[in-house]
Amino acid sequence: MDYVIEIENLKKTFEDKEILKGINLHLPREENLAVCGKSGIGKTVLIKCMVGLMQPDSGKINVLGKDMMNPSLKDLEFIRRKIGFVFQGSALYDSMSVRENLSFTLKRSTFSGSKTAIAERVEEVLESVGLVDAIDKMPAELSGGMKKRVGLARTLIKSPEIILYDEPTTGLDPATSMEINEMILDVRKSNKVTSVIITHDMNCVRMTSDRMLIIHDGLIYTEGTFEQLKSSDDPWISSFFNKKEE
Amino acid sequence: MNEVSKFRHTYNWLPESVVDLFIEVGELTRFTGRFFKELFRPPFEFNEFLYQSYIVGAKSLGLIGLTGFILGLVMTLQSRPVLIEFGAEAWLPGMVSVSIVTEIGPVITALICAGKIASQFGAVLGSMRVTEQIDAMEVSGVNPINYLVVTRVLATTLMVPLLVLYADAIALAGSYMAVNIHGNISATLFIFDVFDVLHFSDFLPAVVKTVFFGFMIGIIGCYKGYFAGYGTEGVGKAANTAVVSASLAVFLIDLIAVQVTHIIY
Amino acid sequence: MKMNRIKSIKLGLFVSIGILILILGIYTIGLRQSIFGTSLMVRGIFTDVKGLQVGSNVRFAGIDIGAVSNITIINDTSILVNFMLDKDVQKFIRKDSKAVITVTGLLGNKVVNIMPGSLNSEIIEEGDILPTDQGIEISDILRELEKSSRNTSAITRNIIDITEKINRGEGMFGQVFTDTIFSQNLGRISVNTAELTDNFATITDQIINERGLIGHLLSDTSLVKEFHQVSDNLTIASENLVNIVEKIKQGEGIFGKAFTDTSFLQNIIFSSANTKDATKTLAEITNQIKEGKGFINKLLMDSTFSDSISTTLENLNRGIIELQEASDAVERSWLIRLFSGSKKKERKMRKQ
Repeated sequence: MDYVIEIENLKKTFEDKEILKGINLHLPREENLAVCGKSGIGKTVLIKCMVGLMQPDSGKINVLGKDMMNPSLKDLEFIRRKIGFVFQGSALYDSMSVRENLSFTLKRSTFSGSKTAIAERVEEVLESVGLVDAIDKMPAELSGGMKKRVGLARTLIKSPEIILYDEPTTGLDPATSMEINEMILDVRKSNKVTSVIITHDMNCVRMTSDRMLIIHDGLIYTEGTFEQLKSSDDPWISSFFNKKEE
Repeated sequence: MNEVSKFRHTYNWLPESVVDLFIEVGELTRFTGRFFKELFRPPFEFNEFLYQSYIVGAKSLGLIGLTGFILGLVMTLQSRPVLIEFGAEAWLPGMVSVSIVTEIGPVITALICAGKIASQFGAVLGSMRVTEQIDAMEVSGVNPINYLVVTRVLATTLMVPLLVLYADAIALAGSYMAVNIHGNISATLFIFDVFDVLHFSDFLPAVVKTVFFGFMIGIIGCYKGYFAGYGTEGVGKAANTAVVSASLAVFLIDLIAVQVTHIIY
Repeated sequence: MKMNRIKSIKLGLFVSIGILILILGIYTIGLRQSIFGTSLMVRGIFTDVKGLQVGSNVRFAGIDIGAVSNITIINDTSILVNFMLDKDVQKFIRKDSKAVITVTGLLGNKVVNIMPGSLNSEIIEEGDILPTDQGIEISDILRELEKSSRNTSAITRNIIDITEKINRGEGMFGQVFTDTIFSQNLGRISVNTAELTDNFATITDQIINERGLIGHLLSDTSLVKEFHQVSDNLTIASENLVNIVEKIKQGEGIFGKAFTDTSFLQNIIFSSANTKDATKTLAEITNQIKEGKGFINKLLMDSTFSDSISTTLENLNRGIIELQEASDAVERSWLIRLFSGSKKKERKMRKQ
């Protein structure tokens, strides 16, 4: 099978505290994988290891055929062009307008195009997230949902093969969460991307994921489809679902 | 257990603060190394550099100018009685100009810049770190050191010397005013007196050391912000420690500069 | 964040003015040191540059006209100093203008002073070597001062030695000052001498001024003449007397009768003979005096001689007074007192 991400026995320690104790994960192309777990369990650490924002202590991590344990600068550049990362707090550059936020990467990446080509591409992507009107606004003027969408647009603008979502619906009202979920599905449909969605919002998992896994105590506790896990007999797993659905 | 903990455990007789200091100095040195590596790696973010220069230079001019003016005025007024006691009132412009150009101007300007600019860098980069903007930049394939740090450090390195020159000039203007409060001296004679005692051996080292002041203010501010801890506390701490460390660095450089100047001249 | 036009203008203004200040600063300082602008290079060889530095001013008639541009050691006694001078002053400096290193103010910088040369000498040219002169420096003055103070200290040491010896009673002065009887005698002698010389002085004074008996007697020439007449008269008188006596012998007149007694006559004859002898010697003396012979004459008649004696005596007198004063001063001086004090202490210590 064609895996875009392969992780074996991944370990990561912070200041004497072992966060990841041996994660094994295989992600096939064009799959939406939801990663669940309690807060602070190391989900974000896991996806940050995937793009080289963090260095794992030991194990094996392979993204799009590149070894990410000690990546060369060239590999890192390649990976970062292919992987989009939607941050929990959107992480928009707050000193720049929405337009500048989106064109920032394009101007500096290998995207070859004139100024007008860049401007066109920015508008095109903003249209796809329905925010053309906000093009000259500053991030501080945007609502949480709008920020998320701009963040997603900023990721989409470089047409990534993999998108990593870090808690895409956290802190949003249900209606906006719904919009974001639909957008994640839209993106997969139109761009044929593979996604890893970190969340503890079960609605999000249900709507967007093909498969989900739950991390507990630094290890993958269980994995399966949403339906499979929801009907699990394990009291801890079902408590997880019930709690989240409340 | 990671390596730092192992080190702490092995050398547990070393005070915690000393180990922290070593870590800090080591990290700062590595960060400086990264700065120089990125400095020569394209692309050069010229627009951002200009913007930072604007922030550091033009935007700080008012503050620097005001302090410089007051400094020149007060120094002259305070030196005057002492010089009169020695019957050397004619030396007033010369003495004040030498102390302003060689020491007071550079150091005071650098300290104000440490307060204004290093704290700003610490706060801005710290909050960018905390809100994952630096991560976002890195993931998007733009080197944050190149974009955020190189531009800022270059801006301070080049703008602080200019600010010092402004401060010197304005302080001398203040001094001229102070001299004229009591006596009456023509601007021509004042300028003559000032430049009569100033030599290249005073002027050039003073300018050169301000380049280092600017560099250290920039690099420390950026370092503290770049490696800010998470949370709003991390941002505050980054801004605060940036000011403290940068001010300290200014004095350390001054200490070295004075000796180096003596060796060279 | 984007740079907009206004920000660019502000930044541009800021940088331009800043660089202008830098250039002005460098240029103004440079102007003072004559690094820029047209200049003339001349040289001078000194044996000692006394702390002159590159950049030190060069002055001509008190005006800064350039700066020292280079100092190189040629060998152990000659140091080559290059000056960059303002081209405008070239015409005022002659080939025999001397370069002297001097100090501005008491603690000021070293400067090179170029002295005006002679008018018939040629005007200096690029690269010329000016004659030099070692100027006076504070340190030289101080060195002289140190030398003399060292001498002074040697002298005072000698004085201490001497006074020490005096105190210990060594040598003539020691005896003079320490032997109380001797010094008492000396004191008395000196008092007597003083009186004596005083008297002498007044006597000679009077003699010189022809006052007093001896003065009159011995210095008045008319008196001598009278003396002479007296003696002449005396001989006439005695001749007359002889005549009278003859007449008396023949028994003529009252006296003849009165003096026919032979014993009386015999006495008369004897005394007149004595008188004759006496007057003869008197006449001899006065003759001698008149002719300017003999010691007494010199003593009493020669005014220069008596003058010199009187000044001698006066000098002697003054000398003795001065000696007295000097000995008083020495006794009173703190140095001796200090020393004699410590001597006393020492003695006390020994007694204990």
